[in-house]
Amino acid sequence: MYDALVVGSGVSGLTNALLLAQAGQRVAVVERAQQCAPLLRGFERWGIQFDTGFHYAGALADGEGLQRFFNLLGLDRHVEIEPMRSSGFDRIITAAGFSYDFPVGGDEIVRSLSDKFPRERSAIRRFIDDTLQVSDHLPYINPTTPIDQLSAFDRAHDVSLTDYLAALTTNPMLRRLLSLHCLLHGIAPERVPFRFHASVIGPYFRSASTIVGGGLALANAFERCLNEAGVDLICDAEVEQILLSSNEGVEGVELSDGTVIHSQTVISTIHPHYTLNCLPDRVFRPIYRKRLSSLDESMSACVLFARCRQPLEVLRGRNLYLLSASATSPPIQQQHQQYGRGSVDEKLLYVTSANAASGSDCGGFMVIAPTTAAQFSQWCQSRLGQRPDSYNMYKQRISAQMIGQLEQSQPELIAAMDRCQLATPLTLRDYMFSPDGALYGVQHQVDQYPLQAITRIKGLYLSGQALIAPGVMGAMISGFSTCGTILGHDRLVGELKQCHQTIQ
Amino acid sequence: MTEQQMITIINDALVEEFELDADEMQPELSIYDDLGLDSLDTVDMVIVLEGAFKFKIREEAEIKEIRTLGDIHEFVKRKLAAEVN
Ligand SMILES: Cc1cc2nc3c(=O)[nH]c(=O)nc-3n(C[C@H](O)[C@H](O)[C@H](O)COP(=O)(O)OP(=O)(O)OC[C@H]3O[C@@H](n4cnc5c(N)ncnc54)[C@H](O)[C@@H]3O)c2cc1C
Repeated sequence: MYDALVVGSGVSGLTNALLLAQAGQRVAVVERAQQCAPLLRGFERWGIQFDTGFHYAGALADGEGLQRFFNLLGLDRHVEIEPMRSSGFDRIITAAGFSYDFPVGGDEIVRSLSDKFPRERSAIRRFIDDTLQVSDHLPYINPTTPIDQLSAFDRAHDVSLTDYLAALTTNPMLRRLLSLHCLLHGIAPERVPFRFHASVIGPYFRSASTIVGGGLALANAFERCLNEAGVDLICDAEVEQILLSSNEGVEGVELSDGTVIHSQTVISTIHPHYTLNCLPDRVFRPIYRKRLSSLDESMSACVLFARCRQPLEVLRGRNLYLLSASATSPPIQQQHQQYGRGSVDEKLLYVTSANAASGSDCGGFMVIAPTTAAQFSQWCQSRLGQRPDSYNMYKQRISAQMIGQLEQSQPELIAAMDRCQLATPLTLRDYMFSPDGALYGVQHQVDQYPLQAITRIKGLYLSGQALIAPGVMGAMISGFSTCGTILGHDRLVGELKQCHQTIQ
Repeated sequence: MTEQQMITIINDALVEEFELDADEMQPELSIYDDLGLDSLDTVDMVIVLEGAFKFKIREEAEIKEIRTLGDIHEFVKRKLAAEVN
């Protein structure tokens, strides 16, 4: 019998587990994959470690919010943070030859971007100020921010990024440039609420960092902390049912092999659709069921993983956002790239080194090209390892197109590449168990009310990227938010304030 | 739309989405004490009303004041009247 069971061992699940264990609870984490935090862990191929779910984050510099989380959870003892290039951590290059390096710091961005768009200085200033105003005051990330300051209503009725930018400037290039970071949450500019966008993107403007050893190093750090805190990690265990007692309180979970684990508190960090699948039909009211089951997925992508013969200087401490003249995935039928009522930036290629900050050896890279599962719908019945030839041929066409686009913009990457392999939305779907191969789970959209941690079922709580935001930061905030609901927000905020003083 | 039609739309939607008893939908009943909703259901109630009338509800303070089914009827009536004007 555990005091609490956490379903899913991603960043959010592990954050929940550590916080509850630190509060003296006996906790177990149940994960369907073979090892904890599969998304962070990435994979090894051709002797290279490829990161999947973590490349870079904001708020990790000394004295910043995510660093404070790491400190409170004990993770900072096991990871080494490495700042990205402060002069330009994200480099934007267009097919027409325009380029811009996003530097660290609000004033620096305003100055350097105004050099590129001299007439837009006040619009740029406004954008940066509005963005930082949101991200500097995120709950938990900033312990002085009152919890629940922003109501569900305010979030649901915020303007979209597109509408915000339309009111700010008529310059199409500037609007495009300021929308590129939508890649980091996977929601189209016309669908993403401005304040949500700001909460995800703003922290990168203050500082951009990687972790030495990448996502794997963070996964290992989590595992060590779990051990130290006495949390039981139960892997290779898929939760099939959340068990309820006769008075509709939680009693535990049942795994696919029939094993039952008892606890009167269950925190589900998995995709909300999957949480619904684990529960009897009638426990939630129809409206709440509809709300959970109608959430749209965030965007998916084709991802090219490549090995290189030598380290690539251009990718050290820096990511590339390349804008091509044409789309990456050749259309199969005449169809618009639509996902969940939003558009996909078909001409964007995001390039990052395979394993961030692995010292001098960045012997590989990966390229993310936003796309939709709909593009692959004719093969959606097929599974890993059993795809038909027509699928493989289409994959080859996309790889060739991506390589061609890279060659035009960054020939040295292709010259150094000696092996590569493409993952499609179907690969992501089957590896990450993510419906439609969505990169970041469900979307947070305008007109959509945010989900709460607490549910009508006594003892059942929700957490994870579907609640607050995707990203290591969003997932960790959701952990604090859910545990705050259970343990008391004041208590957690108090502990964070204490870290605040020790760090400073 | 007549007031009676409006009330029917509201009551039907609430009965369906919150699995309430259609015979019990008396305007003087408290949605919390009598109909069994709780503060967790407030957002869901707003979503039901937005869906039924295709308007957006931004009047958070007014929503928080709602106690009875009749309060909901009055709230929607005011919203619809404001839209016409
Ligand atoms: C390609 C890619 C690149 C990214 N890059 C970055 C980045 O650079 N920086 C950044 O901050 N974020 C990045 N992210 C986002 C970030 O990785 C995620 O938002 C975050 O890790 C989500 O954490 P989570 O705990 O909410 O979900 P998950 O990590 O998805 O955790 C859910 C867990 O539940 C398990 N599970 C599912 N169903 C069951 C079941 N029935 N029983 C038991 N277990 C189950 C899953 O296996 C999974 O481990 C990236 C994501 C992707 C896909």
